[in-house]
Amino acid sequence: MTEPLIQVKNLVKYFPIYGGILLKEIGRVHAVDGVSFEINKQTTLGLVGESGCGKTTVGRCTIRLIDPTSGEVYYNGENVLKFRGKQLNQFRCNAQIVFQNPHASLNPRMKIKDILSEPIRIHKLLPKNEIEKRVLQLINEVALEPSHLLRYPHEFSGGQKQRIVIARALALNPEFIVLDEPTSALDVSVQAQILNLLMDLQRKFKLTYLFITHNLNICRHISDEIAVMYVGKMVERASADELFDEPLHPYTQALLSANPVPDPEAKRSKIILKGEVPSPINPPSGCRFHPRCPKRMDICDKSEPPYIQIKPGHHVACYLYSKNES
Amino acid sequence: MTVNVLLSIRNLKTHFFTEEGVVQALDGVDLEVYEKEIIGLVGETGSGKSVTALSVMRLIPQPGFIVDGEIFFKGKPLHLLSEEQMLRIRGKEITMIFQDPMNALNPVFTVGNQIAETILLHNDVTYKEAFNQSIELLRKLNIPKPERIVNSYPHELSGGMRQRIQIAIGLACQPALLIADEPTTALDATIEVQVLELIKKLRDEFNTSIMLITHDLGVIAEMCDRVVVMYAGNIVEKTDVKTIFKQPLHPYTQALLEAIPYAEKKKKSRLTTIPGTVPNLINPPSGCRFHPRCKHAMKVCKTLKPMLLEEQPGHFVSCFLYSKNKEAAESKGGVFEPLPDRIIY
Amino acid sequence: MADDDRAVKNKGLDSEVFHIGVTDLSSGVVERTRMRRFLDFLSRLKNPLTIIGIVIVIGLILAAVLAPFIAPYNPIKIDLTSKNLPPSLDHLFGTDGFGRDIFSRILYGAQISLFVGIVSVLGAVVVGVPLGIFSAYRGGYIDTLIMRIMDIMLAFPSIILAIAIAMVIGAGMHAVTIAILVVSVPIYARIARGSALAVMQETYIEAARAIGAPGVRIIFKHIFPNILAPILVEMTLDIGSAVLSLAGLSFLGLGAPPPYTYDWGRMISDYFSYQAVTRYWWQLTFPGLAIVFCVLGWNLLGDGLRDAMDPKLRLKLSKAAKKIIKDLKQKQHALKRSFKSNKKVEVVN
Repeated sequence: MTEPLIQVKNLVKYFPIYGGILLKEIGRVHAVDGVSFEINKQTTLGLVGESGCGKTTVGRCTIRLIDPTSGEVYYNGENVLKFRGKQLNQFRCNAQIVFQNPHASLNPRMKIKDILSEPIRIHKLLPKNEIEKRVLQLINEVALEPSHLLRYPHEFSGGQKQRIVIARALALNPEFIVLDEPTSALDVSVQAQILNLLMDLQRKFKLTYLFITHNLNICRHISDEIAVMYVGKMVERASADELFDEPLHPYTQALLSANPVPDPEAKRSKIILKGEVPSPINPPSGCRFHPRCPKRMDICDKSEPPYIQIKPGHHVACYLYSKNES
Repeated sequence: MTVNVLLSIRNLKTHFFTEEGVVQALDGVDLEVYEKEIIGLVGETGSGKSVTALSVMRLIPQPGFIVDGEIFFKGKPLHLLSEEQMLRIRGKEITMIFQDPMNALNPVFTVGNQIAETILLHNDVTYKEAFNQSIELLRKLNIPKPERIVNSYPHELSGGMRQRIQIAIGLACQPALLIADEPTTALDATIEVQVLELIKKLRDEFNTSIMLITHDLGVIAEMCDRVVVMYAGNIVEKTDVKTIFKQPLHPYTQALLEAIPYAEKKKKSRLTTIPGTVPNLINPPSGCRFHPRCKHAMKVCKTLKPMLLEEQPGHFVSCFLYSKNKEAAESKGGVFEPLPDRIIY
Repeated sequence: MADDDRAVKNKGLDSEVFHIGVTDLSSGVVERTRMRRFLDFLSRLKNPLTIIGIVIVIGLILAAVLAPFIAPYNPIKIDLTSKNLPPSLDHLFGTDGFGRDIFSRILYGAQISLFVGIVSVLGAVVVGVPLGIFSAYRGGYIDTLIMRIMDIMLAFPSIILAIAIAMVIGAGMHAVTIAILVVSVPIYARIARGSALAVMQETYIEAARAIGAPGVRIIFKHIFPNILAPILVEMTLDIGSAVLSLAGLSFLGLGAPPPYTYDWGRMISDYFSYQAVTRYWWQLTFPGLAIVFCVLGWNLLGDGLRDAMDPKLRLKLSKAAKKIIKDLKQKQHALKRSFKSNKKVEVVN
C-alpha cells in the first residue's frame, strides 16, 4: 500500500472583512470550510472548482503560505502547522508551488540565473562553486537553453516563463508541488508542452502533485484522483476515471455536462444550472449547493450533508447517498 | 436556400507600427459572414483573431492601421468610412462584446440607463420608452427580475450577469452582426453554459449573425456553424464545424486538435505538442508562416506563401500539401522536397 | 484616430493593445542587451522639453563643479571701485553694492543650491523609502502608526521647522538641509508604501515567500528594485522644490551664514532695496532667473523621466504610419466626393 504524503484534516480558513470607521470585523469570507483529503506519494490529486470555491486557498494552506484558521496538515505524518524555524525551512525545501500567471511570478529586475539560484542560496544547499552547475542542470531539465540564463524575464514568452517557474520550484529538490492553474494563462499548444513536462518531471523525480484547475479535461488527463469543491466545501472525491464515468454529486454531474467537448457531434443532454455561484461571505445554509440543485430534497437546506465514503475511494457529501436518510 | 453575405473581408492587412518595428498582425485575411450564422474564429494569442474583429469595428488601437484590403458590410466599404459614419454603424448594425464585462460597463450608471442610452443614440424615442424597451429586452433574454436588474449598478451584479447585460446592450438596436470576443473566457463553467445558451438563442430570435472569437475548441464545437482557424495573422483553414473536427486538413489544425487533452484520450499519456513558439510578427517566417513548426514542411513552404483555396467543396485550406495550392506552386517552380531541417515529432 | 484609441481604452482593451503590439509577438527571445535597452530609454527622452531640462541640469552641475575655474572674479571679494555696475563685457551680470561680480556669485551659488537640494533629497530617500516599504510589508498597526506619524510630519511647514532646527543647532546650511530633509521624508514614505503595496500584490513576492526567502531579502531584493522608477522621478522633481525652499529660507535669513553670501536666495534678500528695484535691476533679476531656471530644469527632467518610464505613453507614430493616415484621409475624401456626385461605389460582392 502506498502511504499518504500529504494529509489534510478539516481545514478551515476564514478571511475577515474589515469595515466601518473603526475597521471592525464586519464579516468573514468562508474561503475553506472543513476540507479533508490525502495525497498518496507520487500521485496527483486534481482539485477542481469554480472561481471563489477556495481551491487556491487550500493549495496555499497545504504548503503553509498562509496559515489556516483551524485544521491540520500533515506532511509525512508530521504536523506542518507546528513547524517553526529550521523545520519550516526544511519544509519549504520539500513543498513548492507553481503559480497561475507566469508573467507575474518572476521578479522583472532579476536575471534568470539569479532567479534560479536564489532558493539554493537562501537555504545554503550547495557551496558557491557548485551553484552554477546546478542552475545549468535545472535549465536543462525544463528544456531551455543555457544562454537564456543571462536574460531578464520580459524577454520570454508565457510558456518559457512557466518553464522557468517550474525550474525554480525544482531547485530545492521538493517532494511535493502545488500546481495552481499552471496552464490556464497559456495557449493550447504551449499548454500541452507544459503538461508533458510536468508529467515527465513527476516520473523522473518521483514528485507528488496537487493540481488545482478549473479545466476538467486537463484535470482528468493529469490526475490520478480528482476532488471537486463548491463554495469552500469538498463535495466529491474519487479516482479520475470513476469521477468522470460515474459522478455522484449533482454538482459534479452539472460541472461535467457543462464541460465543452471538442466534438460537434457529441450531443449530450446538458444540465444547465439556474442562478449564480453563491458568495462565500454568506454561504447558503445546509448543503451549499441546495439553491441550485436540481435534485433538492427537504433536508438539504436544513442540515449539512456529511462527507462520507460511499464506495472504496469514492467520497461524496450529498443526502442522496447518505444511508441514514430520514 | 439562398445565403446572403453580410460581411465580407478581402485580403485584409492590419499592421502595428511599434517602436521595435512593424508588427504584421494581419497578413491578408479573407472571410465572409453569412446572415444568421455563427462563425467561429479560433487561434492562439497573436493569431490575429481579435485584430480582425477590431478592424471590422474600426477600433484598432494606435499605432495599428489597416494598410491594405477591403471590408464590405451590407455593401458599405467599412475600411473607408469616416469616423462619423462609423459611429452610426457601431452599436447599431455591428456591435462587439468583450471578454471582461466589468471594464466594458460604466460603473457610475445603472444597467437600465446604459441600455437605454444605446437605444436613444440610434433610435428616435423618448428616454422613458427606451427604458421600457430595455426592460423588455432583458425579459426576452430570460434574465430574472428585469425590473430590479435595470436599477442596479454593474458592481452589484455577478460576472455572468454582467456579461448578459453586455449582450443586452449589444442587442439593444438589433444589430445584424454581433462580434463576441472571448465572451465566456472569464466565466465559470456552469455560468459559461448559461451564457453560451443565451448567445445561441439570439441567433434564432433576433436573426443576428455572430462572430465568435475564442481559443477554446470545445466552445467552437458546441456553438458554431462554420469555423475559421487563424495562425500568425493568416487564415489557415476555413470550413464548417463538423469537417474541422473530423477531417482537419491543415497541419496546424491537426496539431491543435491533438494538443487538447480530453476525456477520450488515454490518461497520463504524452500530449502531442507543437514545438516552438508563436512567431514574432515583426519578422515573420518566410513563405507559410507555420513552416518552422510544421512536421510536413517542404522547401516550397519556405519560399512561397500558400493561398486560401477551396480544396474540397466548402473547405478552404492554405497549405501546399493539397492539390490546388500544389498546382499553383508548381507553375511558380516550387520544390516539393521535405525541408532538411524540419522538425520531426 | 486618436478618438478611436480612447474609445478602445475605455472599453478595457488596454491589455489587448499589448497582446498585439509588444509582449506576445516578440515572444521568441528577442536579443536586447542592457546597452540596447538603455539606448531605447534615452531615445524616449527625446522630447524637446525634456532636452531643455537635461541641458539646464547639466549646465547647473557644470557651473557648480567648474565654478572655481570659470568664474572670472572671486565671489566674495569686495571691490568698492566697481560697485553697482550694470551688465557689461567685464561683468556679464553687473556688480552689486560691494562691487562683487554677480555672474561669479551665481556660478558659486549653484554649488550651494545643488548641494542642499541633492543632499536633502537623498537623505529623505534614505530615511523615507525603507520606512514606507517596511510599513507596507508589515501592515496592521505598525503600518497605521508609521503613516500617522508621517501625516503629522506633513503638517509641519518647512519654514517653522527650519527655525526650530536653527535654534537647536544654529542657523546655517545644515539646519536648512535637515529641515528640507525632514519635511520630504513623509513624501517618500508615502510613495514607497503605495508602490510597495502594489508590488506586493505580484505573484513573485508570494513565490519568494514560498522558497523561504526571509523578510529582509524580500524587501531589498524583490520589492525595492521594483519601486525605484517612481522614486527616481519624485527625487528629480523634489530637487527643484528643495532649491526653491532653500531660496525661501535664505531669503528669510535662515540660510547659509557668511562667507556663503552668494547663495541665490540670500543674494535676493541682501540686494532687496528700493534702489535695487528702481535702478539696479540686474541685482535682483539674475539671481531670480537662476532660481527659476534651476527649478524649471529639474522639473522638466522629472516630467520627461516620468513619461519615459510610463509604458502607456510610449506611443510615437513612425513615418510609415503617418503616411497611411494621410492616404486613408485622401481615400475617404474621394469616397465622399463620389457619394456626392451619385456615382456608385464599386462593391465587391
